[in-house]
Amino acid sequence: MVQLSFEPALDPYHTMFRALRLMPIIETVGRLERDHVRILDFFLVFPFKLPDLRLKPEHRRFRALGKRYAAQKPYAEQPESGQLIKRMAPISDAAYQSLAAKGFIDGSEYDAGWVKPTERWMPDILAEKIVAANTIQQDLMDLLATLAREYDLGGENGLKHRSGLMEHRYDAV
Amino acid sequence: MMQYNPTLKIKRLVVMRNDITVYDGRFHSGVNILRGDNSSGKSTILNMLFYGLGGELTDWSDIALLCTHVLVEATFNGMVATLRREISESAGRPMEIYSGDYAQSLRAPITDWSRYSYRRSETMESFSEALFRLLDIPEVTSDQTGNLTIHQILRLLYADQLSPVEQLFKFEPFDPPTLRDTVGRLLCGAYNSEVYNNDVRLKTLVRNFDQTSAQLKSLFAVLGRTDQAHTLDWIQAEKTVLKQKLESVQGQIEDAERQLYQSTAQDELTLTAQQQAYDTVQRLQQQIAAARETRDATSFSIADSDLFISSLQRKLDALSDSETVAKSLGDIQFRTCPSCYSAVEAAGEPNHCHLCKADLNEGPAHTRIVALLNETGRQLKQSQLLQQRRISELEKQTAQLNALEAEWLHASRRLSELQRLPSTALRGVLRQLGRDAGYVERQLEDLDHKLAIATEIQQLTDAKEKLNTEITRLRNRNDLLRAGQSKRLQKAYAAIDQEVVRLLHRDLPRQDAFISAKHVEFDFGANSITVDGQGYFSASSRVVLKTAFFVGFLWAATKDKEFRHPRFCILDTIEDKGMEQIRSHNFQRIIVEDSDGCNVDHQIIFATAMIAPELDDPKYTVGDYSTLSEATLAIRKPSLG
Repeated sequence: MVQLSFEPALDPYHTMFRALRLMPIIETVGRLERDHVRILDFFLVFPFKLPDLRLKPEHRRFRALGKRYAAQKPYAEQPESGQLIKRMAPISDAAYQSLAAKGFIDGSEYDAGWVKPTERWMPDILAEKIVAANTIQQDLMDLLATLAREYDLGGENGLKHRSGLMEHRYDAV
Repeated sequence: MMQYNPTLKIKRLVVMRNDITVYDGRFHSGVNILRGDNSSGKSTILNMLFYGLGGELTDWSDIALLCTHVLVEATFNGMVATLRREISESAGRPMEIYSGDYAQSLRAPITDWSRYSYRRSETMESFSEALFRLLDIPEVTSDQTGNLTIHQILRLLYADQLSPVEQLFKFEPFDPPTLRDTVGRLLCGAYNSEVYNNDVRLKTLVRNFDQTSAQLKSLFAVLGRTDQAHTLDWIQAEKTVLKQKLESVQGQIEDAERQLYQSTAQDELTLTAQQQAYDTVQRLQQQIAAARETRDATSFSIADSDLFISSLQRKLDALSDSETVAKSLGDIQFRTCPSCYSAVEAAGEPNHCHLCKADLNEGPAHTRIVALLNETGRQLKQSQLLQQRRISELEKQTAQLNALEAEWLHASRRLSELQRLPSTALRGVLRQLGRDAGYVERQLEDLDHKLAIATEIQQLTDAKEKLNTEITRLRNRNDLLRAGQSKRLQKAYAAIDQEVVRLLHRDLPRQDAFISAKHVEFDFGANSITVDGQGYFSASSRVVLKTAFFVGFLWAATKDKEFRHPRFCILDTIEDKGMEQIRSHNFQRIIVEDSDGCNVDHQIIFATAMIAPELDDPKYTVGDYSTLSEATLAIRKPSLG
């Protein structure tokens, strides 16, 4: 199913916007693997897919989120999640490369496979929008922060495995 | 320098002992010479290469077992990858693969490495499959050999010291001839996976064909072949006749019912009144059904548009976020080209794409987003307007339905008042008619059952025909492919024969049979090689013959791109078995001369304790000259005291 209209997940500018929303979360852990960030971004743009994510028992409290965001299911049919995140990859790369070129993340770290935020001033209007968006979805941001902090990316029961979004069985751990 | 696929080339070998690097050697295209005294660890390094590329090794030296990991940076058809394996005496260790060079791999997160096991499973690939994919070597399977591994291929690319010198392949205890034959065919380019895949598919097809035939037989047994009751046309015709019959019975039932309502003995009511009351009820029922349908369709449209409107609303929010980013941060910029990964020059002209330099005549990104914003906004407004109209429409329709229902209630009450008990005769007629209708319906059900069987027969017959065509096609295709393969094999054998003979002619005159050699015969399955039918030579000449075969095979592959040989070999047999220095020097020179004159990318790695003086040049050598005290691996030997 191809959408001819605008789709935030496949728009590099909106991906940059979401990346800037994720920066405060990544800052708390210093740096995160590229794929780790891509999975966080996936649930930020499709929060109604949260029921497909297997959380650790101690994070059961977040389960209600999936239901809360269920109403945001898009009007059009979507491809299945694995296909979707594959399709988002080149767009995501374009967005993060731009952020590196503009100095919001560390370029050489990105080349080596990491997303590492750097201090940089941004226009007020953008900063305000980011804060506003994060405040409205405070519950979702809390969950994503937990996924960044308390979940490994690879291997058995890592985030790739728990979300089913990426192949984990060949992970070197 | 041309490159034929597959081409395997070692760039760097790193051996670790825990966190300490005990060997770090860089390799180049063409000839690579490891030089050093006897017992200074040259063979250990070659073994490490073989193992690092996925070979299986059973005889580790003590000093090698002190090391923990071997890392090999290599290019596969020009693509660089780094392989890591743990050194261990237990067989079948996994391999970790990183898609990038060794230096990059040191900085990458652990999740960028992929771990592949030695054996494949139902759902998981082995590292051999991963490496074959990089090399573009087809997956080779046969019933006798199972799936070929990279280890089996490396056995024909590594001439080690411990294998018997008269055998072609690196020695292995369990070693069926078919397996060796398959490897030889594959490297000669006479293996086509299509043949095997076709064979596998043929097995399935033939099984399906037999099953289909059996199913058809049993179906005919049920129906009896002679009657025509299973042809689709006959059944359809029967059905039409029965449907007409059913319609006429139903018509009679309606007439009888109407008479029942009209049959009246009540004096104060006229027939017309009853007739009218009955007609009113009928009419109202039809109107109610239609009104309900209209109302339901409207409610569905409203619910559907609600979804659409809220998703438009979200889209509009997202667009406004995108617009802010585009306006505040400017256009998308690539630091490296997404196609070739080299750095992109910064700063282009304004309103031009910095990547392809195209003129963005619509202006920068945020103005394009604004256009999208406006369009989506318009769409939203229009949808909301339509939704308003639908909602007021729904209210009207609901009111209308309620009115109709009230009217119907009233009319049906009046009808039951007007109805009197129907005469018994009419009742009887109606019962009989009901039975008739039931009988016809039953016949129709039978026909439907027959129809299902007939359809199944039709489908099975079609399937059988299709299977038959496919089986014939595949058999013919395989005959053709097999013929092509044996022709290819002959051509490859002749080319290798010619190259090996050319090398033997240039050997020092020590073995008459070599000087006058016309043909070299070799047999992968039998694991043997002879010169003009003769197989017995002095020990040192056997070494020359074996080395010449490995090198000749490689040269043949650099002259014909049909070979699937990776244009790579490792030789540890340059001066085995009492080889004279002068003969070894001569052979080294021949290899270098041929390699320098070759314009197809290849790599030969060999070890020697007596390097020809003019070859002791960084252009050809790898690392320093190793000695007992300065061995290849920087580990101090455990003291024997």
